[in-house]
Amino acid sequence: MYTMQRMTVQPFALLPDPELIEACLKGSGQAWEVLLVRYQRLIYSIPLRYGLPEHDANDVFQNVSLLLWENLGRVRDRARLGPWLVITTRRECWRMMRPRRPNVTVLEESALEEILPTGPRSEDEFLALEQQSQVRAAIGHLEAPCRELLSLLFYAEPRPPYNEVAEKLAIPEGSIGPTRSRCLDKLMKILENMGFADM
Amino acid sequence: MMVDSMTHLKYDILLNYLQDQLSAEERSQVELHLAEPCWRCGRQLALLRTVLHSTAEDRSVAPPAAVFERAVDIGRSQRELPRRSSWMRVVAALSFDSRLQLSAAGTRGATRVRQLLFSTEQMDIDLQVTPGRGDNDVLGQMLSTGQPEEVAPVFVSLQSSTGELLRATETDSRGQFAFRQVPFGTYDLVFDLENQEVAVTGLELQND
Repeated sequence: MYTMQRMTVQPFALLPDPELIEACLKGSGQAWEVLLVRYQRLIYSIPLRYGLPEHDANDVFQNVSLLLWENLGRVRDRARLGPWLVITTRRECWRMMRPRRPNVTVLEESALEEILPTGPRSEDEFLALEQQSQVRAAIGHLEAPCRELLSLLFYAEPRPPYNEVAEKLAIPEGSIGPTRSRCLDKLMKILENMGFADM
Repeated sequence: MMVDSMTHLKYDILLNYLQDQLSAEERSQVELHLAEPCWRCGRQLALLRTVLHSTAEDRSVAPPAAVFERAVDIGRSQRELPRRSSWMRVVAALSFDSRLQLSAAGTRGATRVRQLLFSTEQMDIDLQVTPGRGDNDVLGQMLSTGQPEEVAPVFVSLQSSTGELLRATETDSRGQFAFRQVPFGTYDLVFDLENQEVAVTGLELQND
């Protein structure tokens, strides 16, 4: 898994998409990195959901990243970058799959889903992916103890008891409660600032 | 007292509330505070609920580190600023609407199928809209100037006015496409060409 240089990029993590895009347009490489971190899971998960193999998903990710870079200035509604990325990623999946499909003469709307047979079928699923990508990104922006603690508490299945968490993180069991409270405040501050509440 | 009317609830308490980790008394205090109502805490509770739902359902996958780094490098290797209008959008102009023709002739409603023609310098978009019960079938054909007998497929999407992808398909070898049972509403129909997109904007689909 890719690990960001959190100390240097953290200020950009607190920006909502329109301001982050503006920083990219001004030439900030760090803003670009934060933008990619924010949406990496959304972009990468779509080709996988459509059943594309990993090497194709890698190509889709690269193509979509390039298209995003080239078109940052023309995204009409910068507060709704997620839907733009979904459209662009689906189109790249379609381009990837199309040459492998036998020619057909009459196409209807269902044809796209026939090309992409096992993918998400509703906007709700894409929105869920976008939210998952953003929450993961926000947790990734936290420093090590918080990142590890919240990852364990939110993503581990089954959720480990506090004594196991304490052992894993090498911190006293009694400090987990206060640490969780502090880390949760930090996480929610990042999400609030990046506009997660407005999705 | 864990909560009083002057104190907002901390996220930690809201998390315990959502995860059913509070005593009955504490739970009651939280609910009283939320019912005051406290908009701020209510909003934070909704946000936290979304986060918890998102983490519980999360099956998203991150790209391999090397793949991600290659994408980050796009911003390093292409040092010039992103082009602000590298991908042009051309809006097609309405050049024929059978509904307007029929209205002018005083025969509105004589036919339920509506024909529309939109044009740009390079292409025409012929649309046939057939209303159903609460929706429309939209059949169309994209015709380029000097078009050969067989044309390469084009990605066509039906988008909301904010650019949200609602439906998508591809054109066939004659440039034809179809969207069935599209609910009444106003849409953008967008054709994705190599270096530009052609859009029919503000397409109103209703029960005529």
